[in-house]
Amino acid sequence: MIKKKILVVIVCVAFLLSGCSPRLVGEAKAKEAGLAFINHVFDVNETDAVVSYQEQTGTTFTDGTYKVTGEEQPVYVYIVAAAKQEDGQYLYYTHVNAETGVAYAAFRNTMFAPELTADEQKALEEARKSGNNKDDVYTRISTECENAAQKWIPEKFELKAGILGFLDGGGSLGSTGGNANFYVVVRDGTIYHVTFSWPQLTVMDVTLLNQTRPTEDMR
Amino acid sequence: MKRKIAILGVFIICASLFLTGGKPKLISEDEAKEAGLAFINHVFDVNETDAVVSQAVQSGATYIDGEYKLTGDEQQIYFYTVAAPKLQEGQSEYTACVNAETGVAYSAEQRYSHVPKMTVEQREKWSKAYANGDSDAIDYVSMDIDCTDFAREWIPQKFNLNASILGIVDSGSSFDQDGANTNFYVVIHDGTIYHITMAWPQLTVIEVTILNQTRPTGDIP
Repeated sequence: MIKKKILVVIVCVAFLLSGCSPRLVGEAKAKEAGLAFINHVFDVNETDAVVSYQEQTGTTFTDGTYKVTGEEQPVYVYIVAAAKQEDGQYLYYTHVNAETGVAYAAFRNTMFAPELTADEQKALEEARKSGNNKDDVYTRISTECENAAQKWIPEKFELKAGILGFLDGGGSLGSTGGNANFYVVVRDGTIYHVTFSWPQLTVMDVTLLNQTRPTEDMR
Repeated sequence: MKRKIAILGVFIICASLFLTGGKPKLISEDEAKEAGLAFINHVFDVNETDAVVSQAVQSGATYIDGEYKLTGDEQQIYFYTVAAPKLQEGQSEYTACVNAETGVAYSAEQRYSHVPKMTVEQREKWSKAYANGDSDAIDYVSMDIDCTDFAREWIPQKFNLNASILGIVDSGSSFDQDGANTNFYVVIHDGTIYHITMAWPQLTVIEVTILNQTRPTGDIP
């Protein structure tokens, strides 16, 4: 009887001390998952990374909008950064859900977009000269990037259903190149957010949605 | 003794699975009728009280190598169609599909005859967009904007969303001599997807389906 009471007290104290925060995966596991995701997404072979931990503010969807009510549990995330450059920046980084251990987002540092070939440079210059036909240029960028994604997503991720379509997320065009970002909606409800650089058609980031609780940046 | 009882239990389970051919446990027709009628009444703002229920089976499909295929290993999809009102003969005014395994009503459709006749203003709008049937000049954009704007308001009113609308994926439109219709997917941030067919310019919802409420089929939506 006394043993039982002691056990109950220990469990209560453990809950109190943990502040009800969930059990998290370790940094080593996060590094492993993050590196594997980076290597898979960007076709590289990185072997080491630095891991940092973040707590993001959660949000609640009520009455048609996301609100921070104060009742939300934080979103626990590891950031795994790999391929340190001479200037100290990292070329790749990824987000790993610290509760599930799932790597769900990978980014290529925009400072290190691939250099343009001569043909790509020509395509960029022509696009920038187009003046009044900006809509046509952005349509071309979106179409080319979406076509690339239509091929790339099923190659990289094992889809369980067909691609339903694309949802535009915006784009830009500057002196060093352009980009387009959009959502790839799979028929089973899986959604990928992807950014491609243009005209190189290089994947700059990919995020698998709904792998954490809703966060503040969804507002 | 206990061991014998356990073996007997396993034997009974195996025998019942064999006799049912692995068919899952289905909800009753009454339960399907209740779910189907509730969905029809909610979606179309009507008050139907009786319906004809029939059970149907659909082939399942497997998504392999970028397409849906029938491998022969798929489990069938069991569903009920709930047609209201209960008529002796002829078509029903409203039909719903109910997953016979889960009891969830996931699709509702109403007869096209429920679409109101175009008002003078609507006919003018339609006529302008129709461009005398010149396929190169038909204005699909006005229809798509009107219908998707409507759906962006209608979906959150009708369904309890757990996340915001991420966007609309087009799925085709058609014009004919007496109106037009368009169909599209409304994608929610949490992965819920609704397929909607609407008549334009009356902005009447003809059909709505919540995707992924059954195992995959080769059929659309």
